[in-house]
Amino acid sequence: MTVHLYGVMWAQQVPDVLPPGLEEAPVGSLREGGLAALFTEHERPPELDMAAAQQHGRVVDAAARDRAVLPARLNAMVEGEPALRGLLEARGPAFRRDLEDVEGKVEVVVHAEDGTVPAEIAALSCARATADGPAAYLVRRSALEAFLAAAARMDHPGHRLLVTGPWPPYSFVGGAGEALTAERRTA
Amino acid sequence: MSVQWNGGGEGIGAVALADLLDRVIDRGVVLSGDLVISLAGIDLVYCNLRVLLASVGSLEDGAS
Repeated sequence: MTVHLYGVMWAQQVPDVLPPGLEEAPVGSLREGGLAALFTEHERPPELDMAAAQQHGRVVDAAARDRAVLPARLNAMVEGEPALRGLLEARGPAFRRDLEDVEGKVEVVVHAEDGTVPAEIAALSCARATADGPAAYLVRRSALEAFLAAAARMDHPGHRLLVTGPWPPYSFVGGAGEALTAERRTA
Repeated sequence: MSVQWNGGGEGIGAVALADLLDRVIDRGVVLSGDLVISLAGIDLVYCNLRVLLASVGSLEDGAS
């Protein structure tokens, strides 16, 4: 059985109800050492298409609403539940550290027409992702309003800004990141 | 300023959809063909570019 992973969160915060996952499979949670991994089981590796990407995103979104979640990427699959348990055990310390880091924070993306996000906006974030592409910021939920207001103030002709979010902190999974993109690990 | 707020997937803006895919799809994932077709259907150059860049990046990593 292929196990598709959506994310890792504190076991006591797993929501009672989550939307269905890939191939409409019900999302389960596997608990180990105070952590929980959200997953679906599939007889064979699910096809990774547009629908799968959106279903994955919906599950992570729902789990991350007002809770800390380390989002997994679409290729995070392991072979069987024992392998998933092994992942939680092996990477537990990194998962706990990363969960504490993203507690109460969301990811916000700023598209700047001229490619430069004004420092006044960046100053309201906790961190900026290092990946290529539009600038992704980790922002405290309590600072979101101020962040958006700053973006609105700095939005001028020739320096247009477009903001998307709030996203679960996909770009801010630190030491645990490698584990959350694990591809078809076997037990 | 435009804000495309993520309201849970329904009626999501085109740029927000691109950003969602950018986050969910890690480098190294090879998506099936209908992704590009679907995206072409909503005329999203940015997203197509990002997906192509991700794919090319993965290919380069694999080749080196």
